[in-house]
Amino acid sequence: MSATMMLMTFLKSRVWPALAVFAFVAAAVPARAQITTNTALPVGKGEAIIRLQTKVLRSTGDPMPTDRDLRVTAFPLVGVYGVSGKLALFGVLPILDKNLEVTMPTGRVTRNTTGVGDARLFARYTLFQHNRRGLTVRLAPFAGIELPTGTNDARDAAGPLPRPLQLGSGSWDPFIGVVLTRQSFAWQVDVSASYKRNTEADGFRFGDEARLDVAAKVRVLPRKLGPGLPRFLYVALESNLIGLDRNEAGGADDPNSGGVTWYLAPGLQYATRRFILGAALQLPVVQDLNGAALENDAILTLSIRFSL
Amino acid sequence: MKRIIQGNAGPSRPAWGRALGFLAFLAFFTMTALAPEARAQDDKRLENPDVIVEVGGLACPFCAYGIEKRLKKLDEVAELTVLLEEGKVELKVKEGAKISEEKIRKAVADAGFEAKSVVFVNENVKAPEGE
Repeated sequence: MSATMMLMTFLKSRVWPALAVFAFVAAAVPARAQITTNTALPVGKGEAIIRLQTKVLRSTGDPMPTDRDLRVTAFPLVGVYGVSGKLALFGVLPILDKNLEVTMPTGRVTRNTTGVGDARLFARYTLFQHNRRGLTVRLAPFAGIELPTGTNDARDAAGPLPRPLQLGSGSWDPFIGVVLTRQSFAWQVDVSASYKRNTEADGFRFGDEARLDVAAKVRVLPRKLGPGLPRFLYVALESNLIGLDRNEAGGADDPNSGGVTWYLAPGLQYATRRFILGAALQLPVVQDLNGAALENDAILTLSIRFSL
Repeated sequence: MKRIIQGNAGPSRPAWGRALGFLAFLAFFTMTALAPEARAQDDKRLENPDVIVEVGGLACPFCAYGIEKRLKKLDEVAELTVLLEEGKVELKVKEGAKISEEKIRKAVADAGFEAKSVVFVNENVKAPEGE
């Protein structure tokens, strides 16, 4: 078997668990949200918010001689528009850069792909809200679809790139969820649960994705609120529990795909009336992945959002 | 021997380098474009407001900007200030103009918040309901 054939066989059988990486990085959270978690806070009628993010992920520690090294950089661009005080529309367009290095008998091999990933469009409606001075509690379901805007048939000199290295899934994937938010001057908690049904494209179907995200942040500055509109500095701790079903290829489950990952993400957020800066480092606490999975080291998230 | 097989894009660069580049962009953007404007507005307070609106649900400065923009779109409003801790918005109405309580409540609701009370300090700017 040639080195290229060996590589292709290896990638096909071993890299699928990296889909967890793809699913996680591609799922940017909306504007006005916490750093890695959705929120139910309002977007006013006619208001537009832009959020720029960068997410950097690296997966190493491969026990095999192949010493796999996966690096993903994502730049999700998020746009939000308020249709009314209760209904908001969201669009997410990720720009992705994926690199996988593998040691083969012939040497170190790198495969790379860069471009637009799968976009997301969804709507969120505030079903319940309780407001008083300095406090809001809101419940908002949301639903949308992930569009196949990213290519899923990219090739290089060795042939087609493995599916997890492709920029898109090729499929139309609906998702639904609900988010509960409690925000006061001193602290904020968001709890978001969602489910994404991945559909088949070109004989392949990524496993469905379920998420439970919980985010808490506490205002550390200013210690006492002053007059007008003071700027807030928050310390945040967010939790992301992500479950992925096994992928299906040619009608059969891939045993080396899917699993459960739980991240904890300490972070900082700086909020003014015009913009919010945020940074968080997502650290994997539990990675119970099926088969021979490549585990994540950490994910760095930086973001800025501003109201137009 | 190092063998490189590239995909459908150019050569890769270190991911952390890209992240730092983005961070530098954020810092530059924030300092030059947004921060001075935000600072100028933070401590502003109206003298002799015409209307004081008590707003429920307002708990962070970024959310306050949403309500500020919505109320500023009202033709009758000359200027306003948001008092976050007090949960109030103070309005100054344009000279000769009148505004109804209903219109103010709707603007607050459109911003995603709730007007708990609307107090006309200056009764001369109060328009009858329905106007």
